[in-house]
Formats: sequence, C-alpha cells, structure tokens
Amino acid sequence: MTDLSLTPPVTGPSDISYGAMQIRIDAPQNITAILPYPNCLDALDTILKSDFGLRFPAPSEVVSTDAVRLIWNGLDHALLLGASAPLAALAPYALLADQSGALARFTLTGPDLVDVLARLCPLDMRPSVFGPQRAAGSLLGHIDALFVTSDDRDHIEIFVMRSMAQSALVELAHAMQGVAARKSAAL
Amino acid sequence: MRVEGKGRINRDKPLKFTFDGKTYQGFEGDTLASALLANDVALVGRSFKYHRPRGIVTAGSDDPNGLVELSRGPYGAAIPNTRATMQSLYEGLDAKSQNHLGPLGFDLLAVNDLAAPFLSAGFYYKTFMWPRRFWEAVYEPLIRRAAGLGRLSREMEAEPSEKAFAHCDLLVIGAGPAGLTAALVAAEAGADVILVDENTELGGRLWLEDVVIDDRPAQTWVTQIWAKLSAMPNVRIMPRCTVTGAYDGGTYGMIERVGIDHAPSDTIPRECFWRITARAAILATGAVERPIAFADNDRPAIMMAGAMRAYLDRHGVLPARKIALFVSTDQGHRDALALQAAGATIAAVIDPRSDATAFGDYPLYRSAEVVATRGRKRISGITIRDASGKTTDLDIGALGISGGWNPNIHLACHMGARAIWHAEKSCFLAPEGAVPALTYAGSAAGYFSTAECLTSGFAAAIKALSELGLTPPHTPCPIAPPSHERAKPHWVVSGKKRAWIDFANDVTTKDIRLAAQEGYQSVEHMKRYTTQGMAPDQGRSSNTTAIAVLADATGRGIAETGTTTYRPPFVPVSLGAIGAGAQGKGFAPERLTTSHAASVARGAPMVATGLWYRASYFPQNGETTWLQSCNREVGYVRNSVGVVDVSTLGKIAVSGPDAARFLDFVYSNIMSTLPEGRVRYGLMLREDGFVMDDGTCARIGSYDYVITTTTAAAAEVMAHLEFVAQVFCPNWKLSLTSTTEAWAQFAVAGPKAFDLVSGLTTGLLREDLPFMGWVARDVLGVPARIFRISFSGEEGYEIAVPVGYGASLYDALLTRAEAMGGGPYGVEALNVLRLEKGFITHAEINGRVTAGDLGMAGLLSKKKSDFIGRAGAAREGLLDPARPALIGLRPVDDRSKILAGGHLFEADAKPIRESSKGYVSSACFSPTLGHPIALGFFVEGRARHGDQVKMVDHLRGQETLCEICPPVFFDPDGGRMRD
Amino acid sequence: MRIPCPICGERDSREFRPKGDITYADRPAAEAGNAAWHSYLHLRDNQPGEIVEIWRHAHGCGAWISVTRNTVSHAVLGAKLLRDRGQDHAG
Repeated sequence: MTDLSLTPPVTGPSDISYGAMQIRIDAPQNITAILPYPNCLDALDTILKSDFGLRFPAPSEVVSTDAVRLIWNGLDHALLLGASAPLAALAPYALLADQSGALARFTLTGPDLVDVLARLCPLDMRPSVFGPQRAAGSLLGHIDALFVTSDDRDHIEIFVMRSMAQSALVELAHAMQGVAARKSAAL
Repeated sequence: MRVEGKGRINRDKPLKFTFDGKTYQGFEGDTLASALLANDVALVGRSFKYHRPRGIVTAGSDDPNGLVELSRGPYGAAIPNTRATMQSLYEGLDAKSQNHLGPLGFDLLAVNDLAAPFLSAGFYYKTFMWPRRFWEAVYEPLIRRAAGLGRLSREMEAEPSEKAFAHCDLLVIGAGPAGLTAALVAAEAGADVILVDENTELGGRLWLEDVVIDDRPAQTWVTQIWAKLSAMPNVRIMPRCTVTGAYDGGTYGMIERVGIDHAPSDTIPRECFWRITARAAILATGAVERPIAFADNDRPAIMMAGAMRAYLDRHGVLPARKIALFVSTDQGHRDALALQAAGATIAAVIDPRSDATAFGDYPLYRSAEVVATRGRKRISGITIRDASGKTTDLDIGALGISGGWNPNIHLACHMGARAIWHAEKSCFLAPEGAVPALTYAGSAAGYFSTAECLTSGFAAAIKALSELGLTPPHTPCPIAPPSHERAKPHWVVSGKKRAWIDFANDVTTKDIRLAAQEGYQSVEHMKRYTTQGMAPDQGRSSNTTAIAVLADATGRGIAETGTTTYRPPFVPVSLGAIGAGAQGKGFAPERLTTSHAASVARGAPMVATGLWYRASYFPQNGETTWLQSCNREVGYVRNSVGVVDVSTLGKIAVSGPDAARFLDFVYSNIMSTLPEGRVRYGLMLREDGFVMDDGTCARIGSYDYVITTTTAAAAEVMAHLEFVAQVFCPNWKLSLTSTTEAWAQFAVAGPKAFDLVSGLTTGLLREDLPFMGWVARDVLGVPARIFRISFSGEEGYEIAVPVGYGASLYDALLTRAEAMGGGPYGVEALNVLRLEKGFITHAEINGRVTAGDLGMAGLLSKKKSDFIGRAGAAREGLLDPARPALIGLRPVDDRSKILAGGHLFEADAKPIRESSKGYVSSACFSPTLGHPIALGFFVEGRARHGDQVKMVDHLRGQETLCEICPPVFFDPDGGRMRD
Repeated sequence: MRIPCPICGERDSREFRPKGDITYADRPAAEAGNAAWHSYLHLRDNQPGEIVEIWRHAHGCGAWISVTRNTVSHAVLGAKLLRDRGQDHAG
C-alpha cells in the first residue's frame, strides 16, 4: 500500500489519429535493462534460457515468448519487457537497471507508417533492410529513439526517453498531420 | 494566346488568378507563365540592374526572368522570387512582379538603363571606393535600396513545410526517354527504384517529338511505360521533384513542390526537402536550350524556340500570332513547323548556317543573323542581316531562339569534378566517375537524338544493375529510328549594341570582354567581377555562352577556359523547406521533469538548462521581482526547509566485479575504498589534466555504484565513460548505463529537513543517515533511496524514487515543507545557496581550470599509479603556482554589483587586457549575508585574501572595488550540513 | 555521409559524433613521459588522404568505432569496433 501514485510518461489522450494513421500511447510495462559484463554472455544465456526461455538478442534482434520480450537496445544492451520474476540470478553476469518508467512506448499504426517515419527518422525502413522482429536505435527528429518492428508491417513500436516523450509526440503528430493532409488532397 | 485543341490542360476547369492586381483566367494544368502568355502578358518583371522590361524566356526551372512574388495569404508569408515557369496555377493565385519602383510598365529605376555606360562590369568596385567614409552612410544604403531581387515579407511563416528521408537501390533523375528506359529496366530486374522529374508529368521532350518508339507514337509509349511503372511495387514515381545536390555516400538532396502548387493551407506542406540515399543513381536530366547573344536580345517575347514549343504542346499557348525564329539547330526548324501547324505565321527562320535548308513552307534566311530588335514592353520587330550585309526589317510578335543544347550535368560536378568541353558535340560533359555510382544517360550525357537517349538509358541501367549486383532482365532496349541532330553553336552576333548573356544579373557580352581586358581572365574571376551566373538561376542558360565569349576575348578556346565550380543547389531551395520542423520549439526537444506540471501550475517561469526545463523561482502574491522570490526561497533553506527537483543531474549505474577499479581509473580520487552505504564527492579530469566534471559516487552494493554528473555534462560524461570502458578496458568485467530517466530525485534541505524526511518513512533515525551516507527505504510506501548530501550548505537529503512516482512525491514534499514554513525553491535560489557556500558549477569548471585552481589538489590521488588525466595534470604548466585560483569576492562598499564575466585588476592598475589578472565566474546577491558575493579566479588568489582588487565589466560599464576573500562565505567549517 | 557501423550497418552520419584522430585510442602508459603524453594529447599529422578517426554511434548503438576515410575523395572506407583492438590501455 503506497501513499504515492504512479504517473505515466505521457498524460492526456491515449491515442492521436490523423487520417489513416494512429499513434497509441502504450501503458507502462516492466522494463529491465540488461547489460552483460564482458565475456559473461554464455553464462547469462544459460540463465535467460532456464528462467525465460530466451537467449540474449544479437544486434538488431528481438526475441520473445508469450510472456516476455528481449529487445536489443545497443552494444551489449537489451531491454527485458514484461518480466515480473526476480532477476537476481542474472546479477553476477550483467548490470541490471529498472527502466520501467524511464521509457515511453508508442505504437504507430496505419498504412502510411513508413511515410510518417520518413519525415523524422533517417533509418532505411524498407522491409528488405528492416524486417520483422527487428530493433534499431536511431533518431526521431532530434530525439534518440528505439524502433521495434513486429511481424505486422502495419505497426511499429517506438521507445523514447520519458522526459522527451511529449516532444516526441508533438513531432510524430506533426508528421502524421502532414502525411494525412497530403493524402486527403491526393498530393 | 490560347490555341483551340492543343495542350494537355483541363479546359473544363477554368481558374481565376491575379497578376499585379489584374484578374485573368487560365486552366488547370497551366503554369503561371503559360497562363500569362495565354493572356498575352509578355512583360512580367524588370531586370536586376538596368530595370529593363523582361518576359518569360524558357519553360523550365532555368528561366532567368520570370521571378514573381507569390502571395500565400491567409496562411503563409508571401514568397519572393517564385519561378512563374514552375508555379502551377491554382484558383485565386495572386502574384506580383518584382524589382521596380512604381508600376511595372513605368519603372522609375529604368533610368539605370540610360546610365548603362557607367554601370559596366566591376562598377561597384570602381565607383563606390572613395571617399571611404561614404560607404556606410551613402553607398551601402543606396545599393541595398536598389539591388536585390524580390523582398522578404518579414512575416512569421505559418504554412508548414516538410523534410523527409528516402532510400532506394537506384535513383533515376529525370523521366525523359533515357530516364524512363533506365527506370523500367532496373525495376524489372527487381531494384527498388525512385524515379523523379521536376515537371508535373513524365516523358520530358517525348511529348513534343514526332517520333515512333517500338512501333508506337512516342506519346503512347510514354503513357504505357508510365502506367507500367506506376503498377510496380518497387517503383516510386515522384513528379514535381528537383534533385538539388549530390553529396557523399550516395546521398542526394531534392526539393518537392507540394502545397505550393495549390491554394494555401495550414496543414498541407508547402514543399518537402528530401534526403535520398541511393546505392546507385542515373543522371538523365536532359539539356537546356542555349540562347544566342545579339543586340537587345532581352525584350519580352523573345524566348527559346523549345520553350515556345513546350507552351504550345503542354498548354496550347502561342506567344504571338506572327513569329520569327533565330536558330542554328535542326530542332529549331522542327519547332517552326509545329508552331506553324498550330496556326502561327512563321515570318522568318533565320539560320546562320550556310548549309541550312527549310523543313517546310516558311521564309528561310540562310547565313543570316538577327542584328537588332525593336519594341519596348514586348518585341515588335527585328532586323535581319544576311551574309552579303543586306538587312531586312520584319514586324513580328515573338522571336524564338535556338543556339544548341547545354547538357544538365551540374549534379555530376557537385563533388568537385570539372566539366570537360566536348568539341565534336559542342557542349560541356561531366567526366566519368565524378560522383560514385552515378551514371549519365540521354541528353545529359550528350546524346541528343531520341534513339540515342533510349539506348544510353538502357546501357546506364545495365551498368547500375551490375553495381547493385542484380541480374539484368530480359526487357529489350526500346527502339526509335536513328536520326542525326544537326546543330552548330552560334554564340554571339557581333555588333556595338548591348547583347545580353545573363538576363537575371544583367550581364552583357561587353561586360565579359571588359572583364577580360581588365585582367579578370580566369573564368572564376570573370564570374565574380561581372556577377555572371550569380543570380537565382545560377546562370543555367548563360554560363556556357559566357565561357565562349570569354574564350574568344582571351583567345584561349573554350576547353582551356573551362567552367566555374558547380555547387548545390541546382535550383533555389527555400530555407523553410531545409529547416522544416525546426521552427520554434521544433529546434530542440524539451526534456521535462516530473515536477514540471506542478511548477508551472505554481506560476514558476521555466528556464532551459540544456534541453531540460527547470523552475527558475516560484512567485508569490506581493512579489514583483524575481529577486524577492529568490531571497524568500533562500530563506526557506537557511531557516526551515526547501525542496528542489534535482532529477536533471546525470545518473549512471556502474556495476561489475571491476566496477570499483574502473571508478578509480576515471575519477582523480579513490572510489574503491568507499564502503557500502556511503557517498563520496569526486572529480573527473580530461586526459589533458583539466577538470571535466564533478559529482558524487554512491556505493549501492558490493559490485554496484551510482554516480551523478552535473546537468550540463551528463551526456559528455556518459560518452566519456563508455569510451574509456570500450577502448581502454574492454575486458574489465563491468557495465554502465544511464539511469537518469529512471529516477525522480528531490533535494530536501534546511534545518527542518530531517523532520520532513523522517516523516515520510518509518523508524529513520538521524544516526542511520550520517553526512555522505545513503539508505534504501520505503518513502510513503515506495522503495526509494535517500542520500544525505548537500549542495546548499544546510542539512540536506536527496530522495530518489522510481520516476513514475516523481510527480506524486513532489506534491507530498511541498505540502509537508509548506506546513513547516518552507516550500519549493528554484534554480535561482539553488545558485545563491551554492555560491554562499563556494560550491562550484560549470561556470567555474569552464574547461580551463585544474583541480589545483579550484583548491582541490588533494583530490588528485597520489596512491594510484594511473587514472584519466593523471599524466596531463602533472605537467609543469598545470602546476604553476601563479595560475589563477578560485577566490571569493565581495564589494568593499557591500553594495555595488559584481558581474559574472567581469575582469579583475589590481586596484591601481589600468583596466586593459594586458593587466587583467582574473575574472568573475558567478555572482549573486546573498540575502543571508545582506551583500553581493561572487566567485572568480585571480592570479595566486589564495595568497591574496583580504586584498582589494578592481572588477571591471567593460561591456556593461560596471567598475566595482572588491575584496578578495575565501570562496566559502557562509558556515566555513560546514557544521550546518555535517552535524 | 554514410558510416558503416560494425554493429548496426550503414547509417546516416547524423547518428554519429566524431571525436578526432585515432591517436586518442592509443593511450600511453602512465610513466611514458612528457614527450609521449604531449604527442598523444596534441600532435596530429593532419595529412590529406586516408585517415583513421574515432567516432561514436551516439544516436544508435553507442559503440565507439574507428572509421577509415579519405579526406580528399570523401570515400568512407570502413569501420571497426574500437573495443576489438585487443589491448588494454588502462593502468
């Protein structure tokens, strides 16, 4: 029982739509950053396998079970999403940091996904380059962001730092508005 | 005038527009230029220097004259220098002519034309030199008034623009015969293709050619290929797009016309600036028709022959009923036939070639030239001179010109390559390989017949596919009957009167000859002396002719003369498009703390510190200045309790068996001896020995540490630590990551701080948490870390909770603080509190100070054999006892201001640069002491306590006699925060 | 400019931040003496042509890399992870 209340990274409406595009502000989830120590990956993998049925993701990779996801988030750095089990067994082999509230998570959905992100992000989002179940760190305007694909080309997850979530939404909304305006005028 | 049955305009959709306040009608599919020509408006502007009447010359982006001011009300600011030839007509379009004083038809500045003998090349350099004092007062304002093209609206831009990224295997630039062929072949091989063209339709010149491709009329072929490409998922067709620059790594800049071709809107972007990354590219940008320089060749309704043809074909417009053509190309004769077929009377085709033959039934003047033109606001007649010297006068309504073709090779030369003169083809071509993975095709590569354009487009695609590692498809090369395009360059008609080369900047053949005569013989010098090619059109139609004239004047030949440097952009690009999204707050994201909303609700002005926003102070009723609020907030901390958000400080988790060893390596002092539950202050040096940052290090567990950085240096320190870890100790067992965003952290400081903090948790005793210790506790039921550290000099605690609880905890802290007679404080009070205690920030850690300068030489460990900055800090110059050292300052009169940035001098020294012995780094009014205080640096300052020095701020005109004192003004033995 | 990050593949240069010449990765021993430290801190050849520089994939994976490029042709010739240089330079 706490006397304090949790505030999500973004307050206000839980989604924003322009034309056929929608951005959903996802509910906070347990997120733990796992950064293996040098030469400890094998030992770490053994425990990840037994505790979660996963191995540490290779660069750009997303690995998941029904319960949890491990998303690559940079050099020797992955985010474990959805795990509530104690992670102490991992501690001898990796730095563990609770980043649950630190990251805001958005899902951008709609047919013009690539067009919207092309306004903000220098990543090559062609399916041949950025396929399903991949993660890539890049920029959303001036904001550092992690882009995560799923099997469905119709949506993409975007992680940004909590403090910049509001700015990121403004940027995304602006890009969506421009793309929607073009579509509606058939330009 | 409009011709019935011609053009691809939509006659069912008439559009009203205004030009210079007068209303006209055009049709959907018109450009502003075509609509004006259809309404017989030949005069569209005045020239830059002489204010001569000018009209439309070309039908493309290279037009030098048709620059107008386009109104974009009510959403956008008016756009100067809009190219009428590129601007699509829309209902209600409102444009004005530029560059005249008084009405366009009677420009008062046309007096410049009479003064032309005095306005020759280098006029500015020669005339405005003396007397020297006239420059700022008389000449410059005069020139600025008269010069310049168009005027800025000075309104805030409300119409949006966009920028965007795109990626492809193959970028095909230009969708004429070569580009279409290349795009089709590459697409059928499976390449991701982006096909761009600056026109509204694909096909380029094929719309005008009476030619058969693959047994179909060229127009049918275009339509079929266009449809085929549109249906392919791996092809993206982008009309209205001009590639503006070729850059490193296969990156191309491109401007797309979007909303600008429609009525203004507050949602549709005006333009989009694209950055395209292509593994390979094909330059199929075609060629522009080359003018001929002859006497008074700049009158309205003197146009390129190909432009007349284009206006007829696209828009069903003839520039006049009676037309003459002055051409040295076969194409010009075919254009004459087309104009004739549309109902124009061809009064004459004047061809300087001795072997010219008429292609049809029109008067041909062989071996002849146009030597004079008549007509004020549009051409009314010409004088023709044949080889025998006989002259003929003709009355005409328009004159078409064709002097050959200049391939559009600019993009190929954007990475430093120089164009090469090809004598046989009489044009400049780009050297092979000038831009990696860029292949040239069609007229841009010097292939001027349709048949050659198709085969070169095909060959370029095959070459690009091999670079992409793709197998060429079975698609055959489209075939057109071979033809031989005869053309002979005819640069200049000799004569005494002025013959224009660069219409946009009013440069004549005489100017170029004069430049050569006065020693400006290099093409780069000639350009700058005459300003040829420096107008918005960048001399696209005039450069080659100017080079030919210079070559003739210097006797060097065109190949040796060479071209000037081609630089991006190929067409003018509005800054609004390049900077799209960066207006206002789009320039930088905002980082907001969890206390942001509550602070704003309390009326706190938020101040940017880097990207973060922090509360400056919290005004209360009755307070009229920030200083009143600040002084009150300082009082909270000194007398009861104050609360401030310190979440913006960088927090980095460092863990692993080698974490302690790592911290010893990156801090100048020792961290490995720090027991669990304790916090230690630390300095980090740069490798050159100067101080990089300061902060605290807390030992969380046996292998786990959390270190803090200053707000200002958080990103720099994180990058530095990762560098050290990855590069210098890659095999040490440790990892580190930023946890700044994971925690909300609040400082609670003041004599009542413990009362407040202990009330948030159960059973916390003062002795549980000694100075520089920390404990893990539940705070209001949430797992938290409480650190006993102080940046105010009072007993202080910093409470860190998972960031999601930050807003709620801040509310709880303020409620309790206010009940105790305290409350929130902002960064103004924070700064005063730390100054009273002599605590440093990046105002002091300014990149030029050593630990010794700060009085912290004791933090340079002598026990460690190595740490970052150890060797650098041991250098002689950094140990010099005469270095400026950190000092405190107070005004001798306890009243006068001390200003940060002011210089310090000995009391009797002259306040000049040579005698400066130090500077003020931070200053404030201390409400606790009742007088101004400051920190600064002074030569051998620690030995000077008690001496008087002079602070002089030359910029703000302040001089104050100060006393040097120890940098700690308040509670020097630290009892208040420690005990 | 495009830089081939050894972890992420080829990316736009705006995701990267340069640090300077590769010399900075070759830290002298603590007792190497003033001349060696002076050279390490301050002396750079700055010749046109092929150079090796230190960059960080700051807005991507965070890796510190060495980038080989030609300052005359602007060609980027390759990139490697700095941690794979296989030596410890720390005391």
